[in-house]
Amino acid sequence: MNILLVEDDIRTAQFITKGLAQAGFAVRHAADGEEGLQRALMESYDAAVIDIMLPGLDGLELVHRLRRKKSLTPVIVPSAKGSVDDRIKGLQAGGDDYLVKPFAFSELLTRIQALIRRANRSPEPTAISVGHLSIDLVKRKVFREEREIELQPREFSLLEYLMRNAGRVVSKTMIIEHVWDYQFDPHTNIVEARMCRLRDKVDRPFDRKLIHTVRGVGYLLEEKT
Amino acid sequence: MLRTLTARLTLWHTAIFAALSVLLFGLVCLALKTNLRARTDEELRNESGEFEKLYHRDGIEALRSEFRTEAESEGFKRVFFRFFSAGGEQLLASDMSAWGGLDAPPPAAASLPPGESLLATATLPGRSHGARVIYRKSGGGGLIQIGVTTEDDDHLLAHIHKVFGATIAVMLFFGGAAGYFIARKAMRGVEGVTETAVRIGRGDFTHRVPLAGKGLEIDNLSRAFNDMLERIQALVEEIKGVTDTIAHDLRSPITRIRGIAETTLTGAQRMDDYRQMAGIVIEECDQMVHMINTMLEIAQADSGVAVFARAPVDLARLAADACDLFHPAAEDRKIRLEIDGTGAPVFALGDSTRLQRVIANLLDNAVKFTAPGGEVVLSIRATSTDALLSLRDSGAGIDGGDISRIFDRFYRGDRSRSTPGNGLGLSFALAIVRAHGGDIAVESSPGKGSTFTVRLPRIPTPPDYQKVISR
Repeated sequence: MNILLVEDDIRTAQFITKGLAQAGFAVRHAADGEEGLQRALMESYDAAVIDIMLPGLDGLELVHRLRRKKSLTPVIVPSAKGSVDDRIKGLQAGGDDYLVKPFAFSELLTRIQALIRRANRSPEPTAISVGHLSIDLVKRKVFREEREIELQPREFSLLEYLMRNAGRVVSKTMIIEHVWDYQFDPHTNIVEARMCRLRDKVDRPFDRKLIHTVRGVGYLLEEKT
Repeated sequence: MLRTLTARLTLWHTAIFAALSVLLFGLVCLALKTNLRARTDEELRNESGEFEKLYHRDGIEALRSEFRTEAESEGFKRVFFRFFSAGGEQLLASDMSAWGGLDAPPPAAASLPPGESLLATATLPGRSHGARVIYRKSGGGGLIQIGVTTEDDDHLLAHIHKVFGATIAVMLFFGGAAGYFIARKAMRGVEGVTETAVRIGRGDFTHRVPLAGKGLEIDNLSRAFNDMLERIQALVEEIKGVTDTIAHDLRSPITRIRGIAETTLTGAQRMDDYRQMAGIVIEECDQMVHMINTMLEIAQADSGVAVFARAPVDLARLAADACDLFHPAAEDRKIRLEIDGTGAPVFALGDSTRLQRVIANLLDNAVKFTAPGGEVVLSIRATSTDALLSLRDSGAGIDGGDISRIFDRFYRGDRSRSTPGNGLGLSFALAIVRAHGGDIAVESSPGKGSTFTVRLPRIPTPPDYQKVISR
């Protein structure tokens, strides 16, 4: 999988490149809009991350021209502006997704992977498994080591979100946003409390723990060796 | 000088006053002049009538002696009498020494029918006053002429002109002065506003225009001005306050971030310490970003530039969702969290994501400040016009002094300083609810708990409400 990154801020470009490389992507960086457009048209990418504020050709115009040339590369637009208007402009220009700066890197990664999956028309999985833990997304059942685990609907949604992002850190904000569809920053331990109940059912009876806390960042579901 | 409104008003006042006075006096003089002439004419007509009768009855000699008598009694400089034959030849005349240069009777007078008379005004080359003259045709074809000087009338009119002129001058002076004082008095109120504005321009926001009963218009202006000042002062103070707090509230996390990075770099050797540092840095950054975003959202909602969705939102459903979100956290703290009510939908028009956050912020506070063993009860009610969402907790309550300030940005009561939070939750809730046309009320008794009541304008349950529920 290779990604085109068009970003004029070198430090931002460095951390995105580093993060994406860690996640197994090959990243090509273009520092301005013109170069970005040339590369996007000449070379083939699985997805592109295009910043809006660019010297010369700006990000929206770049995406617009890309779409006029019939390029179908999925594009995600990170921008410092967060108003609804700007999102709409970004999407109207032909962007596939929009991300407000500053963003959590894990969020960017999740969205890039989702875009690529959508672009490749990967069928929605009906079941996901990590190690001996598997969930049936159709029947909404959870099994670990052949034993069925009873979960409340919210706990199931939470586990499903962790499983879909297995191997990646998801932040508390992302969890609240995706599992509860809320956008706010709690000062009580609402996510921790829910996670604790989920762990009691999914992890506690077993030797190998799958759900890990990453201090300050969020949670991670993976089978650590 | 003429650029001041007072001067202009005075000038206008005086000009109009002068024009009206001159017009009035002009009319009076004209009326007087006409009246005087009419009287003279009437006398001339009567007298010429007498003469004609005398001539008719007693002949020309009687007329001659009558002419002399009359001229002597009236004064030969003041009147004259003449009698002409039908052919135009002067037959009789009083002493004409003062009347040199008098014209001969005009043809119109010569051709008058018998018994008729003609009035005319004559000017005399050597004299400063003119004369009023009558011609009367006698039955025998002779023409009687009487002339009388207009000197007395002219004197009277001149005198009246003089008196009027002086009166007008005096009236204009006092009228102008009065106009000036009235204008000045009216403008003094405006000057009061100006003085206050100038002071404020120098940065002193504490001044107000005194409401001294200078007339309703000026008082209204002063009041509007004072109201505006009140608002500006509040805003300026708020900006000052927010700037201070931003400086403080952003400095603190930056200090922490810098500190942890620095001490880790100089001290720690283990990978775990670095991991922990990275985690803390991320956490702090997320909180800062969240704080900045919330501040922006509050400012946008307050100033009215925020764009809100306006869709029917079921508050009962929002409350149920919020309870679901907070349930485990409340349970861990041994707090009973429940919804009081039937769960029947109560709709308001608004932005569900933002209203969700309002409820979540309130619930977050309630759970945070309620001691283990306490309870938090959400209830939804509807009146004919309002949708009401109340949140009652058995927490520590809010001190009387704090209650008016809990909605202020960044305000944190003594009790809340030690708990996590940024002091923006309630400000955000209030700003959003107000932007929706509602309000938040608080009742609290320290030690017993608090009740927050969110009031939003209620709308009837939409017809597609089943869909909303099943979604």
